[in-house]
Amino acid sequence: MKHIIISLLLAACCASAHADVIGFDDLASSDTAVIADGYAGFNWTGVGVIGADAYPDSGYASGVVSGANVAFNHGGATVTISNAGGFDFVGAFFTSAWYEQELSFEGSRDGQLLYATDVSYVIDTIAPQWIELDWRGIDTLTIYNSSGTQWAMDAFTVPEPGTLALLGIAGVGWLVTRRRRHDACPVSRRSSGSRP
Amino acid sequence: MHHTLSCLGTWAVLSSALLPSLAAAQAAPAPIVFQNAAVHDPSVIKVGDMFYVFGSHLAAAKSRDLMKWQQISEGVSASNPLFLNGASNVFTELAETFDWAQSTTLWAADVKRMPDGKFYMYYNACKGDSPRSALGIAVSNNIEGPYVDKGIILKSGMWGQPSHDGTIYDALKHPNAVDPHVFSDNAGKLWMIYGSYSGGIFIMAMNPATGMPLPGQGYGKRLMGGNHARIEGAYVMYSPATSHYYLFTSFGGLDSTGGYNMRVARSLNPDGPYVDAQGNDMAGVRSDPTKPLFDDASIAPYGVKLMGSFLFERKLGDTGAGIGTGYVSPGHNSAYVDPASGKHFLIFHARFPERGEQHEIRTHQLFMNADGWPVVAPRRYTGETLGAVRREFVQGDYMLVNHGKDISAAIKKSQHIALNADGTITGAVAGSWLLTGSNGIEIRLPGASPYKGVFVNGWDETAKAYVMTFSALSREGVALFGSRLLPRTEAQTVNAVAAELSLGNTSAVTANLALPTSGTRGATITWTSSNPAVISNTGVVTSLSSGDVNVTLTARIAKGSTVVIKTFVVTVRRAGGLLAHYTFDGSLADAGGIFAAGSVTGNRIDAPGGSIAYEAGVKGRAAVFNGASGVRLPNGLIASHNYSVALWLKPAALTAFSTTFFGARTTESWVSLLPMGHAGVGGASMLWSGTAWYDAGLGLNIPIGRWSHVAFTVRNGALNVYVDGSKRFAGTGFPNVFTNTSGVFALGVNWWDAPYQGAMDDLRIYGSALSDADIAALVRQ
Repeated sequence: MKHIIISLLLAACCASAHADVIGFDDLASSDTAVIADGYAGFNWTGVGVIGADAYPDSGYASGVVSGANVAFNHGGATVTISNAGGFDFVGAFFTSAWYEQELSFEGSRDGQLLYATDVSYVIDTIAPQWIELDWRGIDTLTIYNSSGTQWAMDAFTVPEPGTLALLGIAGVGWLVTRRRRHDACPVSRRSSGSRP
Repeated sequence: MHHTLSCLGTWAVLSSALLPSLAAAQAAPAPIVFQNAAVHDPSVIKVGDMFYVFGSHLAAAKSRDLMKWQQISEGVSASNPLFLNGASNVFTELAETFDWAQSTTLWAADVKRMPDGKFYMYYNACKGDSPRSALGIAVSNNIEGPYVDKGIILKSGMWGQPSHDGTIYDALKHPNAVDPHVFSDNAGKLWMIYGSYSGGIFIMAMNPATGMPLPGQGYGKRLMGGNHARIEGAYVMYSPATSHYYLFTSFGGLDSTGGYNMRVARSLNPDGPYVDAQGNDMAGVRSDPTKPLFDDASIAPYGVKLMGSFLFERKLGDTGAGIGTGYVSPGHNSAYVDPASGKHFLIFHARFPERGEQHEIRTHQLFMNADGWPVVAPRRYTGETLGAVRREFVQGDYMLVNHGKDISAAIKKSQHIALNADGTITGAVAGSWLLTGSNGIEIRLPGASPYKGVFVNGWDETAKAYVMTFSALSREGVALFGSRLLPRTEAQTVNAVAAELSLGNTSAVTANLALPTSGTRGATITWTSSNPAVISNTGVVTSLSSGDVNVTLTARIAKGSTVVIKTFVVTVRRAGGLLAHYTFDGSLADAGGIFAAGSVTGNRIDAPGGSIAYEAGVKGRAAVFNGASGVRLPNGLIASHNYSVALWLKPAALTAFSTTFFGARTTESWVSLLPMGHAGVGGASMLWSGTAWYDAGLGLNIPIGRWSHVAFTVRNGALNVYVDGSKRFAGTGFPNVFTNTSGVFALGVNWWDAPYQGAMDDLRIYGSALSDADIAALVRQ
């Protein structure tokens, strides 16, 4: 019940501030289709959507934070998510689909690298991990993975400018909920490699 | 059970893990599946989309993906399909060869498709204890045979007689006519390289129209070796990536204690001269004739050593199970360069730690380093492709194997190092590292020139995960393998070590305890005993004759500044006494009350179900095994190399391999008491140990329907086996199986074979080797 309440609070907060927490639940699950450019205002390169029930024993199933779907990297490859007008990337939940692996990220604007993680984030197949970067003013987010296999992403959080602080409060509540739900300890780690 | 006693068995390993590859589905990659086959000295040829390997003993196998191998043939027999052709078979076809070589088997074969479209098998046979050999050609329209003999093209070992070059055969300088590899050079010219030990490795120009040597060459040109230097298994690969010819050979002896290792030299010309990375002309590499036979020391410094015996050792706290992944005496390779992808493959046979002489085919990729020398992917091929790597995915903790330059039976175990973000290397070695280009690595360690190689993802068979690896070579011809461990904090590390740290069954300890002193990633474990006089801080156990003693052992597990403590209560049994006594008087309880009661299993050691009945026995009642059930005994019943097992048996039927008393450290290391053994002991009752095979045949079968007392005693490898108090076998070198307190024990069942059918009574296990008189007394009781 507490999880539902906090989730509703998060949704309300985001809605009132015109922030987006993209859950991919309004898209059809598919092993093969990629997300069409323009969905939620972004271009999605190499990103698909799949239902939690598509592979019950996989990280797709354990990686669902809200609704029934997660996004995933097609063929286990690197993906990019872009918006020519620019956006702020707060973070997202990630789960490895098939076995433990690592992620790293880059954020760029107009082809110039603005941010890069210089450490990796280990994700497993058991529980989603919230990875928070708080990168502002990028137009392209690139997500690399170490193993060449698939990961699941949910609650891709990209608020409108000015809502980051508010969203951060709600995000903490969400994290508490997630920790209790999965009896695990999601780690929020700031990138230490931001570049001016 | 592994009914093949030698190295010719087929062994399948299936992994439930998943493969990332270009062929993977978008959302769910195909599972990694290995299917293994045994072909010693595998020489590869690709026909269509199928890889074939041909090797010694007329073994062959095929695979489309270099991961799943299907055995085509094994063993030189009249039914071997490679030569079976109506009334003809290998013995009739190659009768002259067998006659000359005074042998009934064949050594490493090589098959090449000639311009006439036919497949030419270069077969060879050797007497073995001397280089008396014959090498010939058999031809087939089909890669899988049947092959028809075309005749012998070379002989060796003609003592006192003129050899092919007109001089009297001299094994110090003339070759042993075995182990051929026939190849076309970049200009289309045909060559055959061959030889083993004796006078060295030779090359001859061949006629592509006939497959025969061109006339007037004698034995051809010597490229390396001589004076019985232990060099063999020559194979030449041309790499379009570097425009060099690479001559692979294996140094050392092929068996599990021979120190076999693969080396390479290169040349711009197919017939040499071949040089190593230091520029040494391999023609000068040979043994010193003034030294004892098989002088390895004179040849060990030369050639670029690509791989020897090694183990990526799984440490406490690491992911997965078992001892880790590695090879023993890997060698006698062939190679293949895929013209479409440019991938280079190394295909060889390998033995394995704790698996004796059993061997299987293995394929690893080769990559050219910055200096044009091939480095071997540390992990078995699973479809990976060399690509750009990111720095955050390559820095961190690694298992490091340094293959060195020696020819040694020692298995090089991995050590923990860290490739740090600041470019330093810390841990077991200190130095520095660089990520060069998109996937290159350069490692600098004191006392060696830079090691140059590549980073590449690989499949960790132990962790069942895809991991970053590196492979690099120094100018001195020394190879480094690295296999990365996923990032962990100090707390995660020590907690993982603590979670796994176990001393097994500590309720009845009779022998020294192996107290681990290290865990994963350099974690240290230090021990403190509450009673060092009974168990020392290093695990030395001193049993007291006065009775059992409880001791508390405290383990301090540390990584950096993080420490966790774990304690164990250990009961040290009275010296030399009866450890366990299962009387089967209506239950499976230990009469001494020390060990837990046995539990009923189904038809395998870990199968549910089953039932055990009881009937009148030798003493009181006895357990009745119905042929579909067994009994699982507590782990750790025996934990030393000094013990005795005695019991009464009344079989209701005799079936080969059905066990009565079974104990195992792992599925590869076990002891089994069989009323009916394998054909190697004539089907007699036996005590058997695998897979470091040991056959203790008793020369009789215990009778059906009548009680027999069977006992065996082990004292540091000295084995005695008794039937009804009479010693039926005495031997030494019995494998040390029960090296820890986690051994698995069962009655009537194992993991593989039909369960025992019959009765069993009065099982006694002692913590020492009883005397002949002690055993006789048990029979009289």
